[in-house]
Amino acid sequence: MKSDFIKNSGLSLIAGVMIAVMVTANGMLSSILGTWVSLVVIHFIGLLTAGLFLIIKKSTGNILKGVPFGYLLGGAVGVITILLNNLCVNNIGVAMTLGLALVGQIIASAIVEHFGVLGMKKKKVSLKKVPAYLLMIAGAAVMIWWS
Amino acid sequence: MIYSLLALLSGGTVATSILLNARLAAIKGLKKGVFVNYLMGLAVSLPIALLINGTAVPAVEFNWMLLFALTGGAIGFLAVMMNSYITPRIGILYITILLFIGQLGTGVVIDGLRDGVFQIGKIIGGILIVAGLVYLLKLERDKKTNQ
Repeated sequence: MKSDFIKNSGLSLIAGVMIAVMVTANGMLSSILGTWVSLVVIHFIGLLTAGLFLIIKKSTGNILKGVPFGYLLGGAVGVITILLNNLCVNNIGVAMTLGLALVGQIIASAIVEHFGVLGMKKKKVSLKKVPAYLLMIAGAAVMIWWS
Repeated sequence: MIYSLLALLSGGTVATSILLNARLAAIKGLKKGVFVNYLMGLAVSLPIALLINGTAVPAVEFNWMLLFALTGGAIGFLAVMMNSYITPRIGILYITILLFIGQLGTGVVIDGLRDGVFQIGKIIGGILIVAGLVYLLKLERDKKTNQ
């Protein structure tokens, strides 16, 4: 069991390294091809990779059947994410882009839960969590003003 | 400053698309869900690129940098797949923390190699964010085990 934990911990770290490399690569593509063309190419290559995987796994067919329109918007919102990442990474670097994005993500998740938007069950943010949020916001502030 | 705000904002779009894509994956399964995600991304980014850039393909010279820059879309797909493999095996608490440490550590190294200087603010800010994240996730796990 313990060796499984070490293996999966290592894989988690590697996945994190991959995300940082991905953000770097996408940012470079954005400077080579331009903001909008790079977004097309990034999604095309992602689609090709995912499609190849589906073909290998023989899991094609009924791709869009029964999917409510609202759920499709995840991919559209994803375009905005990559666009913002590409703009940021070429100006403030990889570490700050990813660090601030994480803080933004945690705060956004808290807001979504607290107010019950996007069909989430309303769940008030407990006061106990406030120090954790403050710590993360402090980290973001240090990144912004001490870099 | 503007890019710091955009990076924080990208965290909000990440949280939104994670929510929507999780629902999509619940209906279609993860692999098809990721495929649909990229398909939608292409459906949104292609018309915008055509509208702004027209049909002119940017002239680029092939080199190793371009080849690396093109891998972003494929790396993104692999990272999502690894994420779904690891999460049930190690738990959301550890993967979230380790993933972020991997991202930030790599980000600091890439920025350092690019700029020729390691910025201490990014490292200290990152440690504060990790501390807040660990605290927050621990509170959530403790609450779950008490229920």
